[in-house]
Amino acid sequence: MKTFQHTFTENVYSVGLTQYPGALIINKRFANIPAGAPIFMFNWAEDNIIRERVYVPADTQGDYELHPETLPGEPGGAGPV
Amino acid sequence: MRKQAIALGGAGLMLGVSLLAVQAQDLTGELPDPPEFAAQSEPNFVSVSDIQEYKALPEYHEPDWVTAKYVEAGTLPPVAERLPKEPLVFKTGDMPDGVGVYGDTMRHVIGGRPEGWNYTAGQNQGWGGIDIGLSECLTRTGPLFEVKADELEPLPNLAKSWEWSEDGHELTMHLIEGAKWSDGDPFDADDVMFYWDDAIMDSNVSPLNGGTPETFGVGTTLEALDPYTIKWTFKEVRPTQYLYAMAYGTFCPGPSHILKPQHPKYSDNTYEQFKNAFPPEYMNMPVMGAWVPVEYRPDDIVVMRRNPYYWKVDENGNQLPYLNEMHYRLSTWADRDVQAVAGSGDFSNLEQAESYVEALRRSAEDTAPARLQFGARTIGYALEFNLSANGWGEPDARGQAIHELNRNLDFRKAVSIAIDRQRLGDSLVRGPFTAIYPGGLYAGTAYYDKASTVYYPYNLEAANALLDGIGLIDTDGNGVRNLPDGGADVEITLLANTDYATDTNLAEGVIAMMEPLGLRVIANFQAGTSRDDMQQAGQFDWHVRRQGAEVVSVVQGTTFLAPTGPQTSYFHRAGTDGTVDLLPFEQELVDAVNAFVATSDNAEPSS
Repeated sequence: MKTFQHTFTENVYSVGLTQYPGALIINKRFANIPAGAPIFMFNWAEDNIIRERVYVPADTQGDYELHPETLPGEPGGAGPV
Repeated sequence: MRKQAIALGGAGLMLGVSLLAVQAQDLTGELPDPPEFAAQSEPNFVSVSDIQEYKALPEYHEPDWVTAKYVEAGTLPPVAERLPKEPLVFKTGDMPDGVGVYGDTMRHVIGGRPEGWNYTAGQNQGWGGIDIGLSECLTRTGPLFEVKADELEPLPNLAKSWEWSEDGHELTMHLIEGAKWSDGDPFDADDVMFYWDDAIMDSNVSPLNGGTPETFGVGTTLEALDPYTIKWTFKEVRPTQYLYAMAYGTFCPGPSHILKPQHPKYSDNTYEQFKNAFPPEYMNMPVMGAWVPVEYRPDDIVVMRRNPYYWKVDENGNQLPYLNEMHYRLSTWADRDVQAVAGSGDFSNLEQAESYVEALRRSAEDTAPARLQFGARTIGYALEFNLSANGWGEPDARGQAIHELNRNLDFRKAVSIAIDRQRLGDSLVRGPFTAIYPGGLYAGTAYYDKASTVYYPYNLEAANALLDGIGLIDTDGNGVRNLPDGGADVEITLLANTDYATDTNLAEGVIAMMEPLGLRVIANFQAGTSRDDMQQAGQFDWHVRRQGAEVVSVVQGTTFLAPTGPQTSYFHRAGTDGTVDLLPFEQELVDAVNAFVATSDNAEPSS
């Protein structure tokens, strides 16, 4: 990749303009958000933060569930059961 | 400009001296390091084995209400029977806050709208990570930002392990055994082979995120050896980059038990009917992901509930996910930032630099509901030249003349050094956010090497002299240079995407900076889909474009780094005769990319 970078930049293959960081905005009640998770690197932040192991400590949980204590129903069925 | 043109035009000798001086002058300069940035958080770098493993645990747990309302009622098997033989186990040591508790919801806001649930046939679900939550793929790349560079390789996921044959042409993958779709149907090689045979290899089907046979190498084959073993055969030797293509979004198999009966090969359906067989109103689409869509209200919300068959656990045996529900409010992308900062939404990827200062100020307040976490500088923009002179985009005479100028190194250098990158970055946001980007790979990423980076700093005087030197003189004194031999004014169209303010703000900055260079640049600002169409058709002279994954990770989308094929480059594709009229240095770039693809050594990533 050194050869690539040198040939690219020496020949002004395209004109770099600017580069900057993105920021993950995440509500403070969530735990297990890894440090330095970029909004996009190998994939988007929704994968980077490993959502399946993100949680909310019991004392800060919100009352946001629209279908509490339900599970998905039959495929093609009306909704949760 | 007019005065300069007259002065130069009236003194041929001076012009000659000036040109010689520029040619002799070294236009390169010291590239400043990106500014230090206290708000940026750094990953804790770990090994893949520190993050996860596959193993059976002595006991498993689930939310109490699942046991009480479903298992004890006899409508759901016990959790131990729903999990695979060896679930994927996330290790506590890599969890920043440790083992979690069940409950609550993540409230996303997105600008997209779901077309339907048939990802395999190319339908999108509205983006914003909704499909990432539904899909699981053979391998996984998202968490690699925290994996040590010398151990960089996609994480196992549905494929729990793999080994290469002695000659490097065959890759045998072992699938997770006993995992189930969210409706309880077994996941196995049938699902993988349906995706390969009837989506990837069927040219009538275009899966979401663009998987094609070439994504996995020309001539590559895949076969199932048994329900939990698949074997890839590649023409290349040990092409480890395809492990990245097996992650999101190009190898995430769909539920074959649901999809196959609708596929034209196995039914009377047309391909269009197959694609539309699972509209947004179709609920409880079986998934391997952690949440299942259970409610859809148009232009309002998609609600997803926990998948009772999810196949990942923590080290205490708690079945994941911890969060019971996912919301996707169907709004706009700008609203996503607003709601996340305000606390009525939970999550956003803040990426338009113009709003950073306000968002940071708000998040610094004690009462702020959300925190901002800045990562590496992986957002970047470049000005790309249409380098085709053999008909791509079917340019008129003016366009053809510009494309030929684009192929002239002195012209490209002049454009580059006429851009004051510091001022351009500051015009987006003041402070330590933006860094000077000379082009190519981003500083701060694994494969970047500063010593190999040639930087031509801002030098308007030299830029003007370079254009004089290639015969672009303002012969009619109107402030705009003319094409050689009494030609018309140099007028260049600049394509940019209006969906994001940053794209057009930067493009306007470029237009302004070309004025003192005597180049008239005309804005051609288009909404995202029109922009995409014009870019893919080659209908542009210049294009200000946000760069893709290839200049960040290098190992993903590697072939997009150079015109390695007739349709791979963003700005140089095949002309009317089907060939790409590569410049000699472009051939060197193609050779470098192909050499990189052919090597699997990541011990020295910047070599």
